[in-house]
Amino acid sequence: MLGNLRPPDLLLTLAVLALVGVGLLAIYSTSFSATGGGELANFKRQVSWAGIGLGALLIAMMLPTRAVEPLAFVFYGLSLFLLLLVLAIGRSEHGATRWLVVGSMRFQPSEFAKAALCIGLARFLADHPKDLARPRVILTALLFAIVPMTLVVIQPDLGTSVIFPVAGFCMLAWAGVPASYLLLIVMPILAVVTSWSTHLHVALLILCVAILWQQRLRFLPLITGAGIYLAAGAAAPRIWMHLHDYQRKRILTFLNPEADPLGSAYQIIQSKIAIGSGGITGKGFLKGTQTQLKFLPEQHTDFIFSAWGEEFGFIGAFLVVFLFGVIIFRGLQFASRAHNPFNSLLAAGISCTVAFQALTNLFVATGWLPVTGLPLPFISYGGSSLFVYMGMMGLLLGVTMRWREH
Amino acid sequence: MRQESSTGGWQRPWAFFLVAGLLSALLMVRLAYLQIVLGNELRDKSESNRIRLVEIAPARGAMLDRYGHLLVTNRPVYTLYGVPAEMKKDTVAVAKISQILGYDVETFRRKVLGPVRNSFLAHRLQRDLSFQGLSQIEEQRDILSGIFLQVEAKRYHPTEVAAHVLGYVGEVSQEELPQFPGLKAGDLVGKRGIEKTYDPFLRGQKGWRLAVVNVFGQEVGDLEDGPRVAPIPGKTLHLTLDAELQSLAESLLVDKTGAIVAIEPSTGEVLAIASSPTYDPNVFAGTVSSLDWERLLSDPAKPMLNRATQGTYPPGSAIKMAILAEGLESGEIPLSWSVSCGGALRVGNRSFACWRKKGHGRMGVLDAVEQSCDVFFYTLGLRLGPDGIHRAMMRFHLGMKTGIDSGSELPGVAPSVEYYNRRYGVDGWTRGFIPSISIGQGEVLVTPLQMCGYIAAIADGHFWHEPHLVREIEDPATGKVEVPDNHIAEPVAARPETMELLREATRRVVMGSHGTAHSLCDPALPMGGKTGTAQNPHGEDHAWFVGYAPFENPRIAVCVLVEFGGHGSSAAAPLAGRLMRAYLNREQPTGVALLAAATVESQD
Repeated sequence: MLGNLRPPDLLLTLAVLALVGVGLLAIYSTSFSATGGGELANFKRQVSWAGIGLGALLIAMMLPTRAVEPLAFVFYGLSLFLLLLVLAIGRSEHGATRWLVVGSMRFQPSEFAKAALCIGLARFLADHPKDLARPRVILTALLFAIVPMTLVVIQPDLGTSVIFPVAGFCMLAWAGVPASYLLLIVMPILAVVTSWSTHLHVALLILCVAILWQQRLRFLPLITGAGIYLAAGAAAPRIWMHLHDYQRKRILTFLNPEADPLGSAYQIIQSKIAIGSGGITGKGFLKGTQTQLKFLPEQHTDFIFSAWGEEFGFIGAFLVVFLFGVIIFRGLQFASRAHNPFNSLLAAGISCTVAFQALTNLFVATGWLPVTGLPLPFISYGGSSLFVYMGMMGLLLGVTMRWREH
Repeated sequence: MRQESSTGGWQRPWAFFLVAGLLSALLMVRLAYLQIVLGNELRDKSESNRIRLVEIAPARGAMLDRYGHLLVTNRPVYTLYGVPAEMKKDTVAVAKISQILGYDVETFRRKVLGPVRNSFLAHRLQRDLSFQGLSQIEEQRDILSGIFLQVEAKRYHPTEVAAHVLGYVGEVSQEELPQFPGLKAGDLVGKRGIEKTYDPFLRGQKGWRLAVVNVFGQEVGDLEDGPRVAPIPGKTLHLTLDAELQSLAESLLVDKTGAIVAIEPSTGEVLAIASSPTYDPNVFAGTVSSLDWERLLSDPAKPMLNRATQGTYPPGSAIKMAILAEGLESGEIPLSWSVSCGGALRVGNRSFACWRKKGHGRMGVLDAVEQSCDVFFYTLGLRLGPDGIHRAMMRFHLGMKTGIDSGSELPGVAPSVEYYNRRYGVDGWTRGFIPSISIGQGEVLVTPLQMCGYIAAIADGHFWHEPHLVREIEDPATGKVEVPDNHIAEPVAARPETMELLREATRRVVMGSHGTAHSLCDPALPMGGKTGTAQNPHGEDHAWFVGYAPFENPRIAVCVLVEFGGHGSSAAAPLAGRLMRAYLNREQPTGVALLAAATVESQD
């Protein structure tokens, strides 16, 4: 076994450390303006979290596969327990209950659940390599994602909840679930998206059924899929009625930003101005007027990339996207190299989670997605997120060390 | 290195690479579009087209006297703001501005521009710019960069009376900020007097609007069709003060040092409360220039001190009704008790003189108060002991804070055995201390306000009322009126016969042929009172008079203290007489019409 152990991938290591460094710089800048130059309280807290995160990264990296894999379900179960605990005794802020408070520490179990899903589902899929075309196995795998998603939706934290089904879907695809089943899984979502137009709705249904028929899907799952598609399409308008006001507003604002200059649209407008006004080279560290004058809202959390983009311009923004690219591509590369199915699925799940969250946040900041409330991994202010993502990077680096293991 | 494996489906990573690659490329296109194609346009937007939430300060509530005369309101002033980051670029402008504001350039750079935390934000350079400064700045607007003017409200006292109790406003400091949620450093809050006590009512609530501001936070204009929340103006305070009486009280004290307090005995409403020397409250209306502040603080006459509530003096003979009440209430002496005054009383090896050297002869309880016989009270005091005198004072809230709603009060001292033991040690004092405090000298200290509350309670005959200054709090928008919970009436712990006796004794002080305040005697206006002459180690005696009128159903109780005034009968009593007569003989203003006029005026 020891002979298969490699040093951790250098490129990946450097990319992770660089992103954490970018995050600390950006938080220094926003913290600087937030406190008027004096305290830098947020920055100091984030530095200590980065230190703790580094410890988590090193420990996760050193864990042998045969230690992680047997404990996968325990870890997954624990994360569900914590999510339930939040709902029971968590701290509420702005109408959402997301935090567990222990003494002076507080953390977000939904962050831990992201890592737990990758580990738990990797184990489950690795345990059933031959059964990936059996509906019962696929449905169980989906349940792995749907349970934490539901618990997070209840908090409510819609933005974070989306990560679970996306990561789950990616891992199913990575594991080798047939394309027809993958299409069946996304059909309800397509149904919701097209529910506003009857013509499109029906046309898409016909197209999906045609593809599934061509893929020689059996009759029963095909009919079930079509039924769910129609049910989801009918239910969507009703769910819309049950959304929180602020959630509906976010979606509407996205569709028509001029309607709400004070709320979400204000954020998007200011974010775009911040990024764009950075130009090619940026306004310089601590010199971003949007950031320092606080025109940029949520600048140390959800819109931190805009603060970065304003002060470091296209060059700085490109660097961040490049570093995320390195993590995602290197992660997927080692996922496909790994001999051990668990390691492969774990690496793929982690890479996809990072990819989805980073891209979503960046598209929000640049105004191409509605405001979701998702922080940017490694960079946004927030201890739980930084800690968990660094831990996940530890697991990923572990895979780069052990990809030869069977 | 590519590994072919048959155990899973991860042979198709190409789809993942493709999706991630496409999305990243899309993102880069978007970034290039925003930062390179739109870069200049968006930079212009960030420089000049900013939307900002601008606070609209609410109008601070007005204060009216009991008849609706305006005592405190607001008036607009110009405030100069500067953006240090922009100003520093132009040395000529900085020199010009510092000259207009009266600084030399170096001091201005160090003291005004130096400590600024965020130099991109506008900072207040000077509140309430003088007319001269304003016109100089207007003239040279074009060459002065980084500054702008804004109209702000300043506190204004049209009548300039009652400076001490009305109090003043000042900027919230960084340290005080936690006590004021929703405010930021530099906002104005009440710092003293009624302005402070009733600050939550007077302050109102900030509104806001969306303004377009440029990169330095300077306003360019309102956002078109932007939302706007109007501020909620502060509440109007209807005070118990009578502006005319207050003004008279202050004029009676001109060129004197002292205090006058007038209270309505049946309610505890303060009609007038004056302290001399006083100061111009308009000096404090926004922020005080440090020069004015220094001058007021270092003035040896202490004009900032409210002598009515913070000046503590020995009350002298004016305390005698309280001592007599304790004698009768404790059962220590009967109503028929009398003392023979030979001009002095010997205690141990010391002799305590009566103010009348040849003595008063035999003195009953009423005679002793009328003629203010000291020997009578020495004897009574020795029977009561320090604790008896302490109880005597507590009965009338003497030597303790009254709880008046203008704040800034000192308790004074009501000595007791425990007090003496603490101050001098258990063996450090003797019975020889008691005669002095029995006639309101020695360690006894009271404020003029306490003394007025005391005489008002005697005048009323039943209740001691907590003196208060605010009658009603009115919402100027809705006209809704609430009554503050500052009206506390406490029955005086004495039998009705005792209170009636005290009233009769005070009546004789003025109306009796031997009374020490006989000079005020006017058969047409029977009144009660008591003089006091407090020995003062620093010079001439302090002169006291407490009194009330008319004797039946009293409508006004007055306390006058003149520092270094000499005899109470000659220095204090005449002032009290003039005040009470003026109040009672005056035709009462028709409150309603005046009130309406004043309310309209205070709203702009």
